[in-house]
Amino acid sequence: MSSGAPASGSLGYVIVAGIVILIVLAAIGWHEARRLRTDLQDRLGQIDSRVTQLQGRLEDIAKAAVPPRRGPDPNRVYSVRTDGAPSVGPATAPIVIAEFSDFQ
Amino acid sequence: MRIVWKNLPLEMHPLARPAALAAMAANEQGKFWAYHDKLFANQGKFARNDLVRYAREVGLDVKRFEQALDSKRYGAAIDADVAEARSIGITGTPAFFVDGHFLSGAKPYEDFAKLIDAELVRPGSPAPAPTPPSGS
Repeated sequence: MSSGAPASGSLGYVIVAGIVILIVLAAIGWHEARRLRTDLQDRLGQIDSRVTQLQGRLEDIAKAAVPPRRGPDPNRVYSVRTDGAPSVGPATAPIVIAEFSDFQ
Repeated sequence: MRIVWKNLPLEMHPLARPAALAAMAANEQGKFWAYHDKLFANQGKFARNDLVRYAREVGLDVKRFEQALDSKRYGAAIDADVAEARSIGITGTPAFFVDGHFLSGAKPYEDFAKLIDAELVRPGSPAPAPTPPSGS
């Protein structure tokens, strides 16, 4: 087994080299994974802020799209002129209903 | 309760104005509501001869009615109602005001009842009589 010593010696080198290569590869992989993760986190953060922005814009648009109230204010009391207008019921009635209408 | 009619012939209803003029001519002879009912019973048939026929049917002095109609005697009164409606901001018919409180469009009875009840208990308004006054 005299020829085994140099062979086992070179095998040792090969094993060491292999381990070194594996460590280097693992380090590269780890580094790469970390870079990817921070990258993704950055992008996610950007997407989040864009979504928040868009949400705000949508709310603004929805607010702007609400049509302004048309017609008389239901919370106001109007005085409708009744002199000379056709009417039915006593002049002293406690309730007066004025109807604006047409015949068609 | 008193119900007051305010004329608001809409421009999209071309026959509404002659009908309003005719109804006001009937009002001159104290027959507004009978004429009003005729117009609603004969929707859209508002040619001049129709309007005159309804006048005869409700027992108006037809000659006097025709004079009021043809001279547009109540045109200014109708214009005043239209201007008032516009200044209040009314955009469609019918528009009701129960003691000045606006109700838009054809509303269910309950909406009127609610407003009327609120008006009857409103401080400062005449207290409701224990027995309803006749005619209201």
